[in-house]
Amino acid sequence: MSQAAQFPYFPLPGPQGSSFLIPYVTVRLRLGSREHDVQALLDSGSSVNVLPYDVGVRLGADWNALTIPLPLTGSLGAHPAKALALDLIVPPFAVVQMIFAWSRSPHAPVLLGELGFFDAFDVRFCRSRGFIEIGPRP
Amino acid sequence: MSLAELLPMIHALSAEERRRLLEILHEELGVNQSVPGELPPHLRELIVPGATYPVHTPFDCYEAAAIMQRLLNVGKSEQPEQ
Repeated sequence: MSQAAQFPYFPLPGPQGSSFLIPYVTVRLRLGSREHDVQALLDSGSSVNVLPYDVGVRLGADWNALTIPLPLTGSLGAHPAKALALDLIVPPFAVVQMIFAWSRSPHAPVLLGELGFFDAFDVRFCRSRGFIEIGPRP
Repeated sequence: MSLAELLPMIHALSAEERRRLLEILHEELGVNQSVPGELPPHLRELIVPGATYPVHTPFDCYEAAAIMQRLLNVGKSEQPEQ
């Protein structure tokens, strides 16, 4: 991977004093002049990027004004979602505009999935060494 | 600073930065304002009409993950040493 950067796994406390290493990365989302930093899960099990409802509202998105439905199945299948274009900034890489499925679920995490994130970046999970390597697609 | 002075600097920007500048100017001037976050044509064509998009991740299932980890640990300790 050329020009790749390393990001540490995020240790999340689990039950009974255990902890889990989670592939979270801090990214900046931008819509117009509004920006918001979030911890996003690198999720190759998700076919699309996912944005929780409250983050979309904070960025100034208007649910009723968006017209393209993006029906999700699986974990978030019970909630409607709409296609939202956001600028994604993963320092040190350049801004990339990509699609997010903006879910009405109040509990959805920010997911970076196949359509969008994994199209734009190559990702190498090195869990045994405690880091993830991300690089722009060749 | 005049526009004549500014133009060469704008031309030196990357395509992405010029797109961003255009967005900022549109927002400030309130002209040609589309719905914020509406998909531009190059992203719109990625959406397949009628398709559904699976999210397989069983997120926030930490108890299940802990049980699986325990089972894996048991499995490891029961494996004969090679």
